[in-house]
Amino acid sequence: MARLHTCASLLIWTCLGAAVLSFASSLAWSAECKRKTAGFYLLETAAGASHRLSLSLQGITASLTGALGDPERGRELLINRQKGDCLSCHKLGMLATIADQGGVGPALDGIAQRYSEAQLRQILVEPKAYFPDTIMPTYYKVEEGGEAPILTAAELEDLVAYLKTLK
Amino acid sequence: MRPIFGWALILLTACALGGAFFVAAGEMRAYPPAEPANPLKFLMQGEDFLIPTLRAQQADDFDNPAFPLVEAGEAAWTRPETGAAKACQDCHGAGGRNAVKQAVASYPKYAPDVRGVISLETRINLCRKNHLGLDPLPGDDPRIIAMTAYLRWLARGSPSTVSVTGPNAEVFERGSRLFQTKLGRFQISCAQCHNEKFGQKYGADTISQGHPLAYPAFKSSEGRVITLHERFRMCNRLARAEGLPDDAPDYVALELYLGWRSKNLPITAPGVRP
Repeated sequence: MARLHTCASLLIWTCLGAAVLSFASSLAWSAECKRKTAGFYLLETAAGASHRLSLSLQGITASLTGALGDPERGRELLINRQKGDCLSCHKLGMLATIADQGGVGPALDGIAQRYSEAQLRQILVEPKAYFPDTIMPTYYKVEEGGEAPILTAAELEDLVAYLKTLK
Repeated sequence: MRPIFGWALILLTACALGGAFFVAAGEMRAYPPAEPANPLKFLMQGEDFLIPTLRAQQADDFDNPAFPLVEAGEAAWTRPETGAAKACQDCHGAGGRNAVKQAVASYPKYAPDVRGVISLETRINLCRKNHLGLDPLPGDDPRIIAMTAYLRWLARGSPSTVSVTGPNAEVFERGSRLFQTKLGRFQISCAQCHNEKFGQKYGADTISQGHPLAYPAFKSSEGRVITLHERFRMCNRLARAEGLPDDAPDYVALELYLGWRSKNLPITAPGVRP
Protein backbone atom coordinates (compact mmCIF):
# COMPACT_ATOMS: atom_id res chain seq x y z
CA MET A 1 0.00 0.00 0.00
CA ALA A 2 2.79 2.41 0.93
CA ARG A 3 4.59 1.69 -2.33
CA LEU A 4 1.44 2.29 -4.33
CA HIS A 5 1.06 5.56 -2.48
CA THR A 6 4.60 6.61 -3.41
CA CYS A 7 4.06 5.66 -7.04
CA ALA A 8 0.82 7.62 -7.23
CA SER A 9 2.24 10.73 -5.63
CA LEU A 10 5.27 10.52 -7.90
CA LEU A 11 2.98 10.36 -10.90
CA ILE A 12 0.93 13.30 -9.71
CA TRP A 13 4.00 15.42 -9.04
CA THR A 14 5.37 14.60 -12.48
CA CYS A 15 2.06 15.59 -14.06
CA LEU A 16 1.98 18.81 -12.06
CA GLY A 17 5.59 19.56 -12.98
CA ALA A 18 4.85 19.00 -16.65
CA ALA A 19 1.81 21.26 -16.43
CA VAL A 20 3.81 24.03 -14.75
CA LEU A 21 6.60 23.66 -17.29
CA SER A 22 4.25 23.80 -20.28
CA PHE A 23 2.41 26.76 -18.77
CA ALA A 24 5.69 28.62 -18.26
CA SER A 25 6.85 27.86 -21.79
CA SER A 26 3.54 29.05 -23.24
CA LEU A 27 3.93 32.28 -21.27
CA ALA A 28 7.43 32.71 -22.65
CA TRP A 29 6.17 31.98 -26.15
CA SER A 30 3.36 34.51 -25.97
CA ALA A 31 5.80 37.10 -24.60
CA GLU A 32 8.04 36.38 -27.57
CA CYS A 33 5.09 36.77 -29.95
CA LYS A 34 4.15 40.08 -28.34
CA ARG A 35 7.72 41.29 -28.57
CA LYS A 36 7.78 40.40 -32.25
CA THR A 37 4.53 42.11 -33.14
CA ALA A 38 5.15 45.19 -31.00
CA GLY A 39 7.50 47.95 -32.01
CA PHE A 40 10.28 46.64 -29.80
CA TYR A 41 11.06 44.23 -32.58
CA LEU A 42 12.28 47.21 -34.60
CA LEU A 43 15.11 47.68 -32.09
CA GLU A 44 16.99 44.71 -33.51
CA THR A 45 15.82 44.60 -37.11
CA ALA A 46 15.87 48.22 -38.25
CA ALA A 47 19.10 49.67 -36.93
CA GLY A 48 18.88 52.81 -39.09
CA ALA A 49 15.33 53.64 -38.11
CA SER A 50 16.16 55.35 -34.84
CA HIS A 51 13.89 58.33 -35.39
CA ARG A 52 10.98 56.10 -36.29
CA LEU A 53 11.74 53.87 -33.35
CA SER A 54 11.79 56.62 -30.78
CA LEU A 55 8.57 57.93 -32.27
CA SER A 56 7.04 54.49 -32.10
CA LEU A 57 7.98 53.92 -28.50
CA GLN A 58 7.08 57.36 -27.30
CA GLY A 59 3.92 57.85 -29.28
CA ILE A 60 2.56 61.24 -30.26
CA THR A 61 2.20 63.35 -27.13
CA ALA A 62 0.80 66.53 -28.65
CA SER A 63 -2.79 66.74 -29.78
CA LEU A 64 -3.06 67.09 -33.56
CA THR A 65 -5.41 70.02 -33.19
CA GLY A 66 -3.91 71.45 -30.02
CA ALA A 67 -7.23 70.86 -28.27
CA LEU A 68 -8.90 67.99 -26.46
CA GLY A 69 -11.31 65.79 -28.41
CA ASP A 70 -14.92 65.07 -27.55
CA PRO A 71 -15.34 61.45 -26.37
CA GLU A 72 -19.06 61.40 -27.29
CA ARG A 73 -18.33 62.29 -30.91
CA GLY A 74 -15.46 59.80 -30.83
CA ARG A 75 -17.85 57.03 -29.87
CA GLU A 76 -20.04 57.80 -32.89
CA LEU A 77 -16.99 57.82 -35.19
CA LEU A 78 -15.92 54.45 -33.83
CA ILE A 79 -19.33 52.95 -34.64
CA ASN A 80 -19.95 54.74 -37.96
CA ARG A 81 -19.32 52.29 -40.82
CA GLN A 82 -18.35 55.10 -43.17
CA LYS A 83 -15.94 56.76 -40.73
CA GLY A 84 -13.80 54.90 -38.20
CA ASP A 85 -15.65 51.61 -38.70
CA CYS A 86 -13.54 50.19 -35.85
CA LEU A 87 -16.05 47.48 -34.92
CA SER A 88 -15.76 45.67 -38.25
CA CYS A 89 -12.38 44.44 -37.02
CA HIS A 90 -12.42 44.99 -33.22
CA LYS A 91 -14.77 43.84 -30.49
CA LEU A 92 -15.93 46.21 -27.79
CA GLY A 93 -17.94 44.40 -25.12
CA MET A 94 -19.13 47.72 -23.69
CA LEU A 95 -21.08 48.35 -26.89
CA ALA A 96 -22.52 44.85 -27.12
CA THR A 97 -25.76 46.28 -28.52
CA ILE A 98 -23.90 47.13 -31.74
CA ALA A 99 -24.28 44.00 -33.87
CA ASP A 100 -21.72 42.30 -36.11
CA GLN A 101 -18.49 43.12 -34.31
CA GLY A 102 -15.44 41.62 -35.98
CA GLY A 103 -12.42 39.78 -34.65
CA VAL A 104 -9.48 40.66 -36.90
CA GLY A 105 -7.83 42.96 -34.36
CA PRO A 106 -7.63 42.77 -30.57
CA ALA A 107 -10.65 43.71 -28.43
CA LEU A 108 -10.80 47.36 -27.42
CA ASP A 109 -12.03 46.83 -23.86
CA GLY A 110 -9.48 48.23 -21.43
CA ILE A 111 -7.33 49.57 -24.26
CA ALA A 112 -6.52 52.73 -22.26
CA GLN A 113 -4.85 50.55 -19.63
CA ARG A 114 -2.61 48.95 -22.21
CA TYR A 115 -1.59 52.08 -24.09
CA SER A 116 -0.93 55.66 -23.10
CA GLU A 117 -2.80 58.50 -24.75
CA ALA A 118 0.27 59.28 -26.86
CA GLN A 119 0.52 55.67 -27.97
CA LEU A 120 -3.20 55.48 -28.79
CA ARG A 121 -2.75 58.58 -30.96
CA GLN A 122 0.23 56.97 -32.66
CA ILE A 123 -1.72 53.77 -33.33
CA LEU A 124 -4.56 55.70 -34.94
CA VAL A 125 -2.30 57.98 -36.96
CA GLU A 126 0.09 55.26 -38.16
CA PRO A 127 -0.21 51.80 -36.53
CA LYS A 128 2.60 50.42 -38.70
CA ALA A 129 5.08 52.32 -36.54
CA TYR A 130 4.39 49.78 -33.77
CA PHE A 131 3.14 46.84 -35.79
CA PRO A 132 4.96 46.77 -39.14
CA ASP A 133 2.89 43.96 -40.64
CA THR A 134 -0.52 45.06 -39.42
CA ILE A 135 -3.53 45.19 -41.73
CA MET A 136 -4.87 48.19 -39.80
CA PRO A 137 -5.16 51.24 -42.06
CA THR A 138 -3.28 54.48 -41.57
CA TYR A 139 -6.05 56.82 -40.47
CA TYR A 140 -4.20 60.09 -40.68
CA LYS A 141 -1.75 60.35 -43.54
CA VAL A 142 -1.30 63.85 -44.92
CA GLU A 143 0.47 64.09 -48.25
CA GLU A 144 1.17 67.10 -50.41
CA GLY A 145 -1.45 66.99 -53.16
CA GLY A 146 -2.54 63.50 -52.05
CA GLU A 147 -5.91 62.24 -50.95
CA ALA A 148 -7.48 63.57 -47.78
CA PRO A 149 -6.78 61.35 -44.76
CA ILE A 150 -9.48 58.85 -43.67
CA LEU A 151 -10.17 60.90 -40.53
CA THR A 152 -9.60 64.62 -40.05
CA ALA A 153 -7.31 65.78 -37.24
CA ALA A 154 -10.34 66.80 -35.16
CA GLU A 155 -12.05 63.43 -35.73
CA LEU A 156 -8.89 61.59 -34.77
CA GLU A 157 -8.66 63.58 -31.51
CA ASP A 158 -12.33 62.73 -30.75
CA LEU A 159 -11.51 59.07 -31.23
CA VAL A 160 -8.45 59.30 -28.96
CA ALA A 161 -10.62 61.00 -26.35
CA TYR A 162 -13.14 58.15 -26.50
CA LEU A 163 -10.50 55.40 -26.40
CA LYS A 164 -8.99 57.08 -23.31
CA THR A 165 -12.26 56.36 -21.49
CA LEU A 166 -11.95 52.59 -22.10
CA LYS A 167 -10.20 51.77 -18.86
CA MET B 1 -9.55 4.01 -1.44
CA ARG B 2 -7.28 6.84 -0.46
CA PRO B 3 -8.21 10.22 -1.91
CA ILE B 4 -4.84 10.46 -3.65
CA PHE B 5 -5.68 7.48 -5.87
CA GLY B 6 -8.95 9.14 -6.78
CA TRP B 7 -7.07 12.23 -7.90
CA ALA B 8 -4.56 10.19 -9.84
CA LEU B 9 -7.40 8.37 -11.57
CA ILE B 10 -9.12 11.64 -12.47
CA LEU B 11 -5.87 13.09 -13.82
CA LEU B 12 -5.13 10.02 -15.91
CA THR B 13 -8.65 9.92 -17.33
CA ALA B 14 -8.45 13.60 -18.19
CA CYS B 15 -5.13 13.07 -19.96
CA ALA B 16 -6.50 10.10 -21.90
CA LEU B 17 -9.68 11.95 -22.88
CA GLY B 18 -7.72 15.03 -23.92
CA GLY B 19 -5.36 12.96 -26.00
CA ALA B 20 -8.20 11.12 -27.67
CA PHE B 21 -9.96 14.40 -28.48
CA PHE B 22 -6.73 15.85 -29.86
CA VAL B 23 -6.30 12.91 -32.20
CA ALA B 24 -9.96 12.91 -33.23
CA ALA B 25 -9.98 16.64 -33.96
CA GLY B 26 -6.92 16.26 -36.14
CA GLU B 27 -8.48 13.50 -38.19
CA MET B 28 -11.97 14.92 -38.44
CA ARG B 29 -11.24 16.89 -41.58
CA ALA B 30 -8.36 16.74 -44.00
CA TYR B 31 -8.11 19.77 -46.26
CA PRO B 32 -6.57 19.23 -49.67
CA PRO B 33 -3.00 20.54 -49.90
CA ALA B 34 -2.21 23.41 -52.25
CA GLU B 35 0.36 23.49 -55.05
CA PRO B 36 3.92 23.98 -53.73
CA ALA B 37 4.16 27.54 -55.11
CA ASN B 38 0.78 28.49 -53.60
CA PRO B 39 1.02 30.83 -50.59
CA LEU B 40 -1.79 28.79 -49.01
CA LYS B 41 -0.60 25.58 -47.42
CA PHE B 42 -4.02 23.90 -47.48
CA LEU B 43 -7.24 24.77 -49.24
CA MET B 44 -10.62 25.46 -47.66
CA GLN B 45 -13.77 25.96 -49.69
CA GLY B 46 -15.78 29.14 -49.35
CA GLU B 47 -18.60 27.01 -47.95
CA ASP B 48 -16.42 26.11 -44.95
CA PHE B 49 -16.72 29.72 -43.76
CA LEU B 50 -20.51 30.02 -44.14
CA ILE B 51 -23.07 29.92 -41.37
CA PRO B 52 -24.94 26.56 -41.46
CA THR B 53 -28.20 28.00 -42.82
CA LEU B 54 -26.49 29.47 -45.89
CA ARG B 55 -24.46 26.31 -46.41
CA ALA B 56 -27.67 24.25 -46.33
CA GLN B 57 -29.35 26.68 -48.70
CA GLN B 58 -26.54 26.30 -51.21
CA ALA B 59 -26.46 22.52 -50.91
CA ASP B 60 -30.16 22.15 -51.71
CA ASP B 61 -30.80 22.94 -55.39
CA PHE B 62 -34.50 23.53 -54.69
CA ASP B 63 -33.68 26.01 -51.95
CA ASN B 64 -30.77 27.74 -53.69
CA PRO B 65 -32.05 31.15 -54.89
CA ALA B 66 -29.53 31.16 -57.76
CA PHE B 67 -31.13 28.12 -59.35
CA PRO B 68 -33.81 29.82 -61.47
CA LEU B 69 -30.91 31.45 -63.32
CA VAL B 70 -29.34 28.05 -64.00
CA GLU B 71 -32.64 26.93 -65.47
CA ALA B 72 -32.91 30.09 -67.56
CA GLY B 73 -29.39 29.45 -68.83
CA GLU B 74 -30.27 25.87 -69.70
CA ALA B 75 -33.32 27.04 -71.66
CA ALA B 76 -31.20 29.62 -73.50
CA TRP B 77 -28.69 26.91 -74.41
CA THR B 78 -31.31 24.86 -76.22
CA ARG B 79 -33.76 27.47 -77.61
CA PRO B 80 -32.69 30.26 -80.00
CA GLU B 81 -33.06 33.77 -78.61
CA THR B 82 -35.48 36.05 -80.45
CA GLY B 83 -33.73 37.32 -83.58
CA ALA B 84 -31.25 34.44 -83.74
CA ALA B 85 -31.40 31.55 -86.22
CA LYS B 86 -29.80 29.03 -83.90
CA ALA B 87 -28.93 28.33 -80.26
CA CYS B 88 -25.72 27.28 -78.47
CA GLN B 89 -26.77 23.65 -78.74
CA ASP B 90 -26.71 23.71 -82.54
CA CYS B 91 -22.92 24.15 -82.51
CA HIS B 92 -21.89 22.71 -79.13
CA GLY B 93 -24.37 19.86 -78.69
CA ALA B 94 -25.97 19.07 -75.36
CA GLY B 95 -24.67 21.20 -72.45
CA GLY B 96 -23.95 18.16 -70.33
CA ARG B 97 -21.24 16.90 -72.68
CA ASN B 98 -17.86 16.39 -71.09
CA ALA B 99 -16.17 18.66 -73.64
CA VAL B 100 -18.39 21.58 -72.56
CA LYS B 101 -17.72 20.98 -68.86
CA GLN B 102 -13.98 20.77 -69.42
CA ALA B 103 -13.96 23.94 -71.50
CA VAL B 104 -15.85 25.86 -68.79
CA ALA B 105 -13.35 24.88 -66.09
CA SER B 106 -10.43 26.11 -68.20
CA TYR B 107 -11.45 29.81 -68.28
CA PRO B 108 -10.00 32.48 -68.21
CA LYS B 109 -7.94 31.24 -71.12
CA TYR B 110 -6.03 32.41 -74.16
CA ALA B 111 -8.25 32.87 -77.20
CA PRO B 112 -6.28 32.83 -80.46
CA ASP B 113 -9.15 34.54 -82.32
CA VAL B 114 -8.83 37.71 -80.21
CA ARG B 115 -5.16 37.20 -79.23
CA GLY B 116 -5.80 37.64 -75.55
CA VAL B 117 -6.79 35.95 -72.32
CA ILE B 118 -10.56 36.17 -71.93
CA SER B 119 -13.15 35.25 -69.33
CA LEU B 120 -16.07 32.89 -69.85
CA GLU B 121 -18.40 35.90 -70.14
CA THR B 122 -16.33 37.35 -72.97
CA ARG B 123 -16.39 33.98 -74.73
CA ILE B 124 -20.20 33.90 -74.48
CA ASN B 125 -20.39 37.40 -75.91
CA LEU B 126 -18.00 36.52 -78.75
CA CYS B 127 -20.21 33.54 -79.58
CA ARG B 128 -23.29 35.75 -79.54
CA LYS B 129 -21.69 38.26 -81.89
CA ASN B 130 -19.86 35.95 -84.29
CA HIS B 131 -22.12 32.92 -84.49
CA LEU B 132 -25.61 33.98 -83.42
CA GLY B 133 -25.70 37.50 -84.81
CA LEU B 134 -26.76 38.89 -81.43
CA ASP B 135 -25.54 41.94 -79.52
CA PRO B 136 -22.98 41.33 -76.78
CA LEU B 137 -24.47 41.75 -73.30
CA PRO B 138 -23.20 43.93 -70.45
CA GLY B 139 -21.87 42.01 -67.45
CA ASP B 140 -24.92 42.68 -65.27
CA ASP B 141 -27.48 41.49 -67.84
CA PRO B 142 -29.53 38.61 -66.38
CA ARG B 143 -29.10 36.64 -69.61
CA ILE B 144 -25.32 36.50 -69.42
CA ILE B 145 -25.35 35.80 -65.67
CA ALA B 146 -27.84 32.98 -66.40
CA MET B 147 -25.66 31.45 -69.10
CA THR B 148 -22.55 31.72 -66.90
CA ALA B 149 -24.41 30.22 -63.95
CA TYR B 150 -25.64 27.32 -66.12
CA LEU B 151 -22.20 26.60 -67.56
CA ARG B 152 -20.44 26.85 -64.21
CA TRP B 153 -23.10 24.56 -62.73
CA LEU B 154 -22.29 22.02 -65.45
CA ALA B 155 -18.64 22.17 -64.37
CA ARG B 156 -19.58 21.64 -60.72
CA GLY B 157 -17.33 19.13 -59.02
CA SER B 158 -14.33 19.54 -61.29
CA PRO B 159 -11.44 21.79 -60.26
CA SER B 160 -10.37 24.86 -62.18
CA THR B 161 -7.97 23.81 -64.95
CA VAL B 162 -6.62 27.23 -65.93
CA SER B 163 -3.27 27.20 -67.66
CA VAL B 164 -0.61 29.49 -66.26
CA THR B 165 2.04 28.83 -68.88
CA GLY B 166 2.52 29.83 -72.51
CA PRO B 167 0.39 32.80 -73.56
CA ASN B 168 -1.27 32.83 -70.11
CA ALA B 169 1.98 33.25 -68.17
CA GLU B 170 2.14 37.03 -68.40
CA VAL B 171 -1.48 37.49 -67.35
CA PHE B 172 -0.96 35.05 -64.48
CA GLU B 173 2.02 37.08 -63.25
CA ARG B 174 -0.08 40.22 -63.44
CA GLY B 175 -2.86 38.59 -61.40
CA SER B 176 -0.36 37.32 -58.87
CA ARG B 177 1.10 40.81 -58.46
CA LEU B 178 -2.35 42.38 -58.19
CA PHE B 179 -3.24 39.99 -55.39
CA GLN B 180 -0.32 41.36 -53.37
CA THR B 181 -0.90 45.02 -54.26
CA LYS B 182 -2.11 47.27 -51.45
CA LEU B 183 -4.82 49.56 -52.70
CA GLY B 184 -7.45 52.09 -51.73
CA ARG B 185 -7.45 54.51 -48.85
CA PHE B 186 -7.07 51.59 -46.47
CA GLN B 187 -4.01 50.31 -48.38
CA ILE B 188 -5.01 46.67 -47.98
CA SER B 189 -4.15 43.86 -50.39
CA CYS B 190 -6.17 40.74 -51.24
CA ALA B 191 -3.36 38.66 -49.73
CA GLN B 192 -3.51 40.40 -46.35
CA CYS B 193 -7.08 39.21 -45.83
CA HIS B 194 -7.36 35.99 -47.82
CA ASN B 195 -3.89 34.52 -47.24
CA GLU B 196 -3.34 35.65 -43.66
CA LYS B 197 -6.70 36.39 -42.03
CA PHE B 198 -9.06 33.72 -43.32
CA GLY B 199 -11.27 32.30 -40.59
CA GLN B 200 -11.37 35.61 -38.71
CA LYS B 201 -14.48 37.75 -38.38
CA TYR B 202 -14.89 40.88 -40.45
CA GLY B 203 -18.14 42.33 -39.12
CA ALA B 204 -20.70 39.53 -39.22
CA ASP B 205 -18.90 37.56 -41.93
CA THR B 206 -15.97 35.18 -41.71
CA ILE B 207 -13.09 35.98 -44.05
CA SER B 208 -12.65 33.15 -46.56
CA GLN B 209 -9.62 32.04 -48.52
CA GLY B 210 -11.02 33.94 -51.49
CA HIS B 211 -11.60 31.16 -54.02
CA PRO B 212 -13.63 31.99 -57.13
CA LEU B 213 -15.37 28.61 -57.35
CA ALA B 214 -18.92 29.46 -56.20
CA TYR B 215 -19.51 32.35 -58.61
CA PRO B 216 -21.94 33.44 -59.96
CA ALA B 217 -23.45 33.28 -56.47
CA PHE B 218 -26.58 34.47 -54.71
CA LYS B 219 -25.59 37.35 -52.40
CA SER B 220 -28.08 37.34 -49.53
CA SER B 221 -27.40 40.91 -48.42
CA GLU B 222 -28.15 42.15 -51.96
CA GLY B 223 -30.95 39.70 -52.71
CA ARG B 224 -29.58 38.91 -56.16
CA VAL B 225 -27.01 36.84 -58.00
CA ILE B 226 -23.63 38.52 -58.42
CA THR B 227 -20.71 37.69 -60.68
CA LEU B 228 -17.11 37.19 -59.61
CA HIS B 229 -16.14 40.59 -60.99
CA GLU B 230 -18.87 42.24 -58.95
CA ARG B 231 -17.43 40.47 -55.88
CA PHE B 232 -14.04 41.99 -56.78
CA ARG B 233 -15.69 45.42 -56.88
CA MET B 234 -17.23 44.82 -53.43
CA CYS B 235 -13.81 43.87 -52.05
CA ASN B 236 -12.36 47.01 -53.64
CA ARG B 237 -15.01 49.09 -51.90
CA LEU B 238 -14.15 47.49 -48.55
CA ALA B 239 -10.57 48.71 -49.04
CA ARG B 240 -12.14 52.05 -50.08
CA ALA B 241 -10.65 51.72 -53.56
CA GLU B 242 -12.20 52.38 -56.96
CA GLY B 243 -13.66 49.23 -58.52
CA LEU B 244 -13.12 48.32 -62.19
CA PRO B 245 -15.72 47.52 -64.88
CA ASP B 246 -16.61 43.93 -65.78
CA ASP B 247 -13.91 42.13 -67.74
CA ALA B 248 -11.30 44.78 -67.06
CA PRO B 249 -7.86 43.26 -67.87
CA ASP B 250 -6.89 43.47 -64.19
CA TYR B 251 -9.98 41.52 -63.12
CA VAL B 252 -9.42 38.83 -65.78
CA ALA B 253 -5.80 38.51 -64.60
CA LEU B 254 -6.97 38.24 -60.98
CA GLU B 255 -9.56 35.63 -61.97
CA LEU B 256 -6.86 33.59 -63.69
CA TYR B 257 -4.57 33.80 -60.65
CA LEU B 258 -7.41 32.80 -58.31
CA GLY B 259 -8.28 29.86 -60.58
CA TRP B 260 -4.72 28.56 -60.19
CA ARG B 261 -4.71 29.34 -56.48
CA SER B 262 -7.86 27.23 -55.96
CA LYS B 263 -6.61 24.15 -57.86
CA ASN B 264 -7.53 20.87 -56.12
CA LEU B 265 -10.84 22.33 -54.92
CA PRO B 266 -14.04 21.64 -56.89
CA ILE B 267 -16.19 24.27 -58.59
CA THR B 268 -19.37 24.67 -56.49
CA ALA B 269 -21.32 27.28 -58.48
CA PRO B 270 -23.91 28.60 -58.11
CA GLY B 271 -23.14 29.41 -54.48
CA VAL B 272 -24.97 31.26 -51.71
CA ARG B 273 -23.08 33.96 -49.85
CA PRO B 274 -24.00 36.25 -46.90
